[in-house]
Amino acid sequence: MRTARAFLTLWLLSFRRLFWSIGTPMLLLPIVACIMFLVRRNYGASDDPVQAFHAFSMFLLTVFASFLVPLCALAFGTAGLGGDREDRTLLFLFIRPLPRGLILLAKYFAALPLVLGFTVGSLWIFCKLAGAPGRAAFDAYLPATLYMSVAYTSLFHLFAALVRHSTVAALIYAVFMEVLLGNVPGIVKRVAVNYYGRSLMYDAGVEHGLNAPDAQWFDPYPPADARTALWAIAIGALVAAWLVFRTREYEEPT
Amino acid sequence: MSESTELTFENVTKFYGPVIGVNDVSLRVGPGITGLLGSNGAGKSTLMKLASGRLKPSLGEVRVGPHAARSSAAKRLLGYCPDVNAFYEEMTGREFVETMTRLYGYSLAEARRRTQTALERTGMADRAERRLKGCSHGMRQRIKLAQAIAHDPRVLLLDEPLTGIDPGGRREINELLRALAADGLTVLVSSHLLAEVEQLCDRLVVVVNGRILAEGTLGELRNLLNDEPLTIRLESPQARLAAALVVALPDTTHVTVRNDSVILRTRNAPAFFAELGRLVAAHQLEVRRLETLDSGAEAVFGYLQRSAT
Amino acid sequence: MGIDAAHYHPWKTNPGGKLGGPLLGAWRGVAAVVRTTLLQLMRRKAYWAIYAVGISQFVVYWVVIYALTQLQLPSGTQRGMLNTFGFSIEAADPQDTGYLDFMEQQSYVVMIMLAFCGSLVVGSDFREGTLPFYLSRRLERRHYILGKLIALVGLIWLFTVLPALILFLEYGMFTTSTDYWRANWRVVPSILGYGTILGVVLALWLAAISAYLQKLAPIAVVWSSLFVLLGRLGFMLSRETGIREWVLLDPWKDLRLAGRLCFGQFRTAGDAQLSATAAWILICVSLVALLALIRRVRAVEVSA
Repeated sequence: MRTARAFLTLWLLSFRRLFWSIGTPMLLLPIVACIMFLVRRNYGASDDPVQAFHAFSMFLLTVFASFLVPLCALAFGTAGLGGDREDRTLLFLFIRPLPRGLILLAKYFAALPLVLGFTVGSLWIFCKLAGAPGRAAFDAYLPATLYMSVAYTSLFHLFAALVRHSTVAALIYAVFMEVLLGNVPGIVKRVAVNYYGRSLMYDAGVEHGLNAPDAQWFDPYPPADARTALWAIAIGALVAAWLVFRTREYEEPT
Repeated sequence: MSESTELTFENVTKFYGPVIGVNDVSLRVGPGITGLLGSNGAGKSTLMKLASGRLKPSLGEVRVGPHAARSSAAKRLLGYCPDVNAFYEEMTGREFVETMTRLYGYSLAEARRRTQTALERTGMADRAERRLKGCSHGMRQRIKLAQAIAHDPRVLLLDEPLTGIDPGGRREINELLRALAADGLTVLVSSHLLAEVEQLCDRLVVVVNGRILAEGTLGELRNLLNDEPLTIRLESPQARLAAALVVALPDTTHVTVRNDSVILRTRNAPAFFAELGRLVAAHQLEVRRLETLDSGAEAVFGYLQRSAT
Repeated sequence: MGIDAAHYHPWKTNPGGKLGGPLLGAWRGVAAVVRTTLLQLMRRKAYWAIYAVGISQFVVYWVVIYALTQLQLPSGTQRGMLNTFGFSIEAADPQDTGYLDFMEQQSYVVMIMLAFCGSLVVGSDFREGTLPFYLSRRLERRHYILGKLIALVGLIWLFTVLPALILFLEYGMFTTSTDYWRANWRVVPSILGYGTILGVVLALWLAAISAYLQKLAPIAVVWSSLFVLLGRLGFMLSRETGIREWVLLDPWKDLRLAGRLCFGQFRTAGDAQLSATAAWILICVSLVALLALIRRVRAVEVSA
């Protein structure tokens, strides 16, 4: 009972600190930029609904899934644990009787609703602004958004448990693995979470008018396997983070 | 009086990669106030981190009562006031102590009650509504102390607790620590302020190069150093005569006369005091004051460090 | 006790002071800030990890130049490499944009390196309260700002200008005469000019953002939004609306266009037309960043 209460206290503390951090308003900036883009572009006004769906889907694939989702996970996923490491406040948690594994889980479950709130919330707003193509797109792309958000959040918690400058590590990963390798033809792109997410999006979008990608450049993973891969990344990274965090010493020699 | 809990280090060694932080340390810290003395890099912060479970010993074992220091059970018994000046800066002092207390699993009402008590004991109750960002160093130290004692720990670890606190505040904190020790608490204080450790602590542990060099009361430590010269000041209107008499003693190594004072160094303090009594009686010397100048913690620590290197 | 005994320094630089006269003293103050900043950064393993990533691109270019100059490649292969990397085997070929392409392709790693540096060398001065330590010396606000900016420019040059110049030297050394260097000497001022634009603009923007946001995560969010998101949105708007000016939303594009002004080479006539607008955008945003930075440092000076 006492452990559960302590866990809830830490969850609430972490959630509150993340929500009121400077990262939250800063994350609104790219979302506002995307809103302005969608207002200017006005996909709903198109005469060709299939073409409009395709164009809006390309925005979601290249901007939302490839940039915004990892960015939200980076902002909250690395800041939760990484922020405590950066501010040297982690020691106040380590000297409490809460087991280390639970400290990590409290941080993870504090970040996850924020990441999901921002990704799903921004998807909903984007789809609303896109009008008719947006209505179909929200239902089609919501599962992929959820999977990707959870996978990225787990992965960035692993980075936070492993390295001190986890935001830099996450940024390097997001840019070099997700953007560069994620767009290289062939199987190299399997290192990117984004590849599996985009595979799910292509699978869901094709029936609404999204053109299938050129297989030479992007050969989508079968949807069932993509879902499995995203689950495996999410759970595997979280378990790895849990193991690292339990045993690792976060101290400088003095 | 509550049940007492010991802090035990058993053959503890800690490596930081190729660097050895603490080398085969065995130590028992019991109820009362124990001072941990050592220069920078001597290993006292490592000992504190091992005791608080933040570090895992490479070899050996650290226990709080019967529990391993890294276990949750040990952490319930432990209060720790770190030397790091880091906080959740956006919180007020009260919010910080209350949150930290709730992390022990107390209900909100219980945590609030304990927070109030801890803030009162550390003299912060009337200033606890300030944001930590705007608090002075001394106030932050008191808040750190409050979060360490709010859950009524049986072992209290204090890393440089008096840094930045004004003299009046130091007196108050010292009194608080003495009261906690009187209640059977095991208190381990690490400090560079040797004069204050001397006043505060029942026992001293001297750490040099990652090893425990000596432990005991100040008197016991001083007795370890019988071979070390002792500096003595003797005040007399017949200072010149006194100087002439003591300089002839076999163990006297150095004599200086300043107005009515004779400052001398002797290699054998017990023999010197015995001989001085005889000389005073024989020459009817008027001695107004007689004091040893370097039997304090600072000098003892200096001697021990020199003898270790 | 006299005030001298307390080792307080007068606020202004003065002749005969420890740092020398007003001009020399000021310069030494700036140099001290630069040195401290660079050392602070180069002590970090993370910086060297990023540098290793950044230099991998240089290695690729190095190998390409070696292959172009030293190996007898089939003409198709050679042409393919030339197209990919922008180099020409002909001396003084106006289409020889390999160095510029190299500097452009360093953009991602420069962006990451700067996000890291911003929090460490500027943000931490505000977050940890170390700025008053600088300002309590014989340094003024302008010395501090100049020192930090020069340090950041230096770091950017380590990733862009320095390797580009080494590549130019390499190209000349691997040919049998000094003809390549003689014919292409304009490449050197072009690299330096583009490097200066890149350095000054990025350093100003980063210093201003870091002074306000301070922590790594929000800096990374804003910085990557600026350099990745705006680029993508600008590209999509330009393509879908047919209005070319939208590409100027992308700061990298603006920097490239301004940089190509230095090289005097543009991929298309449209690029040449946009380059002046791009330069004005950079100047205006950089001025705003400079004013914001001065304002932020002044606020600390007052509160300290």
